[in-house]
Amino acid sequence: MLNKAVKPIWLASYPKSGNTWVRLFLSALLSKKELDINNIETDGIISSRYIIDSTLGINSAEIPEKDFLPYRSQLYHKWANTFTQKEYLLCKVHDSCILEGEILFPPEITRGVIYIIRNPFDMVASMANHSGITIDQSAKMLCNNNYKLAAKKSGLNTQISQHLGTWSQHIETWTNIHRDNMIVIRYEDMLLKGLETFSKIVNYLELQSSSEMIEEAIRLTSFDTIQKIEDQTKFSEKPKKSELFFRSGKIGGWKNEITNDQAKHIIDCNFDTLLKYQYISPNGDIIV
Amino acid sequence: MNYTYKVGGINISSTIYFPELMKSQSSPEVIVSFDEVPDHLDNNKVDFPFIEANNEQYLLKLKNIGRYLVEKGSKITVQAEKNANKTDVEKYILTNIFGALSYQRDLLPFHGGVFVYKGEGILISGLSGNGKSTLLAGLYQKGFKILSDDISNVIIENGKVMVQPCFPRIQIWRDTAEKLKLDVSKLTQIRSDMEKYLIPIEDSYYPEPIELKKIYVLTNSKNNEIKLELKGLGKVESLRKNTFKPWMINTFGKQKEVFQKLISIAGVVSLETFPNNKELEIKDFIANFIKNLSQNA
Repeated sequence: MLNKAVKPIWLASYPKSGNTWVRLFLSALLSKKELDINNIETDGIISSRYIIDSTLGINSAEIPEKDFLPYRSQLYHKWANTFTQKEYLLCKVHDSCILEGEILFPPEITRGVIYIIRNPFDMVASMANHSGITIDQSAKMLCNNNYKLAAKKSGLNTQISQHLGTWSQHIETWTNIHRDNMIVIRYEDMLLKGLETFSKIVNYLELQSSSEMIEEAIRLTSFDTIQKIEDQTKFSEKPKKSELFFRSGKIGGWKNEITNDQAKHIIDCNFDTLLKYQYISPNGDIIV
Repeated sequence: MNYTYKVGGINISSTIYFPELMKSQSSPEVIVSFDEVPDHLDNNKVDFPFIEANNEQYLLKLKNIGRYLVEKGSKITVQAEKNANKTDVEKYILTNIFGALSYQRDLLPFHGGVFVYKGEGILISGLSGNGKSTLLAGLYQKGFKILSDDISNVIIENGKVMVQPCFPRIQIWRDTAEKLKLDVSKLTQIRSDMEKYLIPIEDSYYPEPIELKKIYVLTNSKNNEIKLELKGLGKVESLRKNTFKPWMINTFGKQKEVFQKLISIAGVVSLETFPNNKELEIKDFIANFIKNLSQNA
């Protein structure tokens, strides 16, 4: 059940898991305008430095991030409350839910959580392309307890750093905190069982949309359609180091992209979560 | 010993020596000194983790650094934390403390820096991370004169919008310094545990007030073509958003005066957005900006 006393609905995921696809789908469903990939009509990414700068009273870049870490959830709550005309906010999040013992997105400031999970084997090449790193470095990141985005301390990024941890730690922090008010959506189900899976999102959000409307939004945001749009328009969320944001999106592409050793490494450090979300069999065979 | 300086149009007397500030012979309007600073204000009106404030007072409390109290536009008191790095404690006076002081003294501080073009001032503003100081440092390297970096105090004098010189330093992050081929080992760090430095720019500093002609608001955009000349109330709102920490306007009870000033500024100063496409090299960003300047300013 949504916590309707507050506004933020966190669209949480590891990078390259379909978060942008969900936001494009919701934008197509909720907006009456033609879909514009550079004006997705959700409410931005919570790691935006602007959110902290507008609620902290001083610029976040003037003090070390650890100094305002204990206040982050309070600042998010304050920011969300400035949207007096909106009933709810849909915010992209790549942070894990907990950092150094601080719950960044506690239930009391959360209306709901849609967690998008994707099998990590297919994410490896996608993340390598996204971050301009090798496949091997990418495979290791999914198993790195200290994996962070925008963590460089020698420059100023428009986002603050985001701690992710390993692929399995990431989802576990979210399910541990929000087990009573969240849905977990598998990327593979979005692709294979589109209407059923996107309807689950729509029902959770209590949106009044017919099956026809959902199907139309799925059609407008299919991978092929979006990829064609990106061919013609620069996508503002594409990182500097990658050629395209929407690269492949296929299930099972990992078979031609990563080695057995890299797959084994990912299984070894994420075994229980891979099993729980049916990406491996109990004897450790990959089933996607 | 007391040192006297002029910064952003304000004459101060300080027991702290600031090598980066311009000396002044005028009688001081503000006293800066080390003394005891309270933990809290009696009448706090704001809800921030490190700040308390009311109409006449601004209290900043920074972990591992110290506490700062700015009162009635005439007094700054500093109390360092035990074991705090003395230089770190002093440098914070030049940012938020100076911004709060400026509002209290009825100056209008904008968030950004000013350089001189064809004898007039051009302000570069925009959100943190959009490249204000990078651009300013690049312009400095190209030989432009600089008045200010992070905070620029504006006054309206005989119908003219004038901007005050601040001090001859530009704040810059290590990555940018390296891209601009500046040797950070020769620069002063703003805070010993952060990779932010001060570039001395005495050789290109412009020490006199100058008429403000144009404001560029930098945006973070991959589309190189976006340039938008703002007009009307949208322009006034955009100007307000680019003042230094706009929440201070209400807290210090300056809404009416500031609104009037913004209307006056909107009437004579043009405002345009300029995209910082971070896919470009810094040198190309700076070259594009200068090209735009020569075509439009």
